[in-house]
Amino acid sequence: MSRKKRYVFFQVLVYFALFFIACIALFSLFQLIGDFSSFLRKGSLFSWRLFFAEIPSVVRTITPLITVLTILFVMGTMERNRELRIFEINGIRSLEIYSVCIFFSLCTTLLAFVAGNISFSPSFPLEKKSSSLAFATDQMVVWAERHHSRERLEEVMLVMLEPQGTRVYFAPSAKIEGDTLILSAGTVRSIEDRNDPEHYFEETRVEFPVNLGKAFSWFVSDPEQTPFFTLYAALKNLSKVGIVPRREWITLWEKVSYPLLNFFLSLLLLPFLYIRKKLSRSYTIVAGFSLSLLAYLSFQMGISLGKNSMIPWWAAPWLFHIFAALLSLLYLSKKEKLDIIPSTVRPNKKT
Amino acid sequence: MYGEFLKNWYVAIGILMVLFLIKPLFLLIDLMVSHFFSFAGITAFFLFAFLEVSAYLLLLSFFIAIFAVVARMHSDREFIIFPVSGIRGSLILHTFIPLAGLCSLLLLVSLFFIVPQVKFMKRTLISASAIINPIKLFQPRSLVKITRDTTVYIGGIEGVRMKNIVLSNRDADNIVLTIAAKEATASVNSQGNLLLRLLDGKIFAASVREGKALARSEFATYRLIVPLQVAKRKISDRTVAESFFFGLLAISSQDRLPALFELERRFFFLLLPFLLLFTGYYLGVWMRISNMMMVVGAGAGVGLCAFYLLLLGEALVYQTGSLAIFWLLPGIWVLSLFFLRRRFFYVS
Repeated sequence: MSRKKRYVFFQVLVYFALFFIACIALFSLFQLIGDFSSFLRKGSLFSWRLFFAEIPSVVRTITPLITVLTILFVMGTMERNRELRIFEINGIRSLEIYSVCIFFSLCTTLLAFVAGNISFSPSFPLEKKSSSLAFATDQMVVWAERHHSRERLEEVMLVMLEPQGTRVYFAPSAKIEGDTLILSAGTVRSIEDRNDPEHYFEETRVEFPVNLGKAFSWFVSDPEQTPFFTLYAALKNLSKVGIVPRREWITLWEKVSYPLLNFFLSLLLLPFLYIRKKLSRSYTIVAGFSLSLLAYLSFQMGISLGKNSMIPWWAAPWLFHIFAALLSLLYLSKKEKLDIIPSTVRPNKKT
Repeated sequence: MYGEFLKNWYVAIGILMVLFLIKPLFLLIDLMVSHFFSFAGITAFFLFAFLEVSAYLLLLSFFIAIFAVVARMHSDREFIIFPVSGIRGSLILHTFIPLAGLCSLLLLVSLFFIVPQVKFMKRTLISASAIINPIKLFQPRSLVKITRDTTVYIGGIEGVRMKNIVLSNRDADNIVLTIAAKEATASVNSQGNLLLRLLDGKIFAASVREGKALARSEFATYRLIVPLQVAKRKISDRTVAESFFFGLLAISSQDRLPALFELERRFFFLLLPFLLLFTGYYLGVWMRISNMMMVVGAGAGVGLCAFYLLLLGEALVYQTGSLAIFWLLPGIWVLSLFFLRRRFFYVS
């Protein structure tokens, strides 16, 4: 990175830090206000643990707004100080300066992705519960009256829906080992054949094409709270038995596409580079908020449309990104006309 | 002066409407794609959302406009020019009293007639739209936990028909039913229960706790009723916030404190325009700012203070069980206005 680009990047970082601190301070204020309300209403006290647990998701949510505001403020300040023109006269094209903003948006994308995947919830929520559990596919149904951990189930019924007939297993306890369910001291019988007697077994192992522990884990956990890679592994595991839950797949890709809003929003800011007018602070704030709100609304619209099967589920998390990319490409194809100094008459940087 | 008030009021109500309608906008997007797309439905929803917050919009915009006018006049030294010209500063304050009265009258209509009805209609609209299409609950090749005791695997969906269903359900007698059906349709009855009509399949009943198979059968059609959680409360029942004046009095015979506090809260809102008029006037004289963004910020600050005053009042009422104690807080507010009046005697 050249010295000039480093200078621009430093400016970007300063503004980003300022907005970041301001947003976190605002969040803390709102959190305190909210907690004070619940203290007045219900007498519940402020929880520092909950407060800090919320911060990563807040960081993920606010980064697109901060990215937009930062880039707009940096461009506004540089235009106000005539720095953009000085750079151009020195043979550095505006797009080269803008590439620093693009690089910065990629950094915030990474930050938002990491923040969105920090989970404070227990890795396996089953550990704390002891309620009944059911899992069904087109080939089998597992019902457990109680579960004590990821591996141990109690009062279990397993119904195998096979083409040659249905078999049912009952066992007071069962253990999960990967893709094997080990039933202890139970019975098995065929449902169709009334003459088939009940067979007692000491221990029997039933193998599945799916890791049952992971499947149960997915079924009782909240996909929104599950980190990307864990959720991806869980959904891949489920797809082995033909379960492809679209909503959860959308939620999975949302974990990537939302942080990428930072990058695609920064692409949409390109026209501001060529406005060549002094951007006032209030104009910058209003433009930044409006653009972020618009992006957020269209992003949410895409997600909702996908979850309700109105558009293909794989396109749902990327609706805004597609529009932003198309608009940016369209703008870039015409941007040569907008350059103050055409590239053909620019001095050679090497000379 | 009214001209300047109106100019500021338009700006203030515009900004506040954007701020207050962001949340309904998000909800609307979800509702539009999940439940209704009709123009009438969307218009009704937005109208309800707007009318629901109309009281807050009216109060805050009134305060901001008063504050902006007085602050601008003070920054232009008009409070010095008027007394020099023989016009008392308090005349400016008195000019706005009819406006505060009008605001109070509009609040009376809004809080006692419009807002309760609108809240009720909005809830009815959302509840009705939430149970319009139960097929939205299901997705092809997915596993859905409808309730704590009902889990369904859906192989596919063609139009309104689900294909290759495998369902497990526990009934009230702790009997677990395992049902496999080739096709199924879903609907919701008026009680809010999900009706699953399963076609061409087999059913197996067992007591898992006893480890016993109880019965097995094949069926052409089987109806299963699953109680959904969406309609636990009857839609026709009005909550305290949705009740009119006489409705609140009727509720108060069973649930005294919440109903009477709601009445108290509404009467407090009727007084607020006058309190905000005096507060805006003295703050305008004190702060001397002309930037609209700062004026809106100050308006938001005062709005937040009023909100906390209400909360504190509510907490006091519920802690002590006495409704009268609520008026202590507006009393303190009025007292502080007297101090401000003494501090700015030259404009009073």
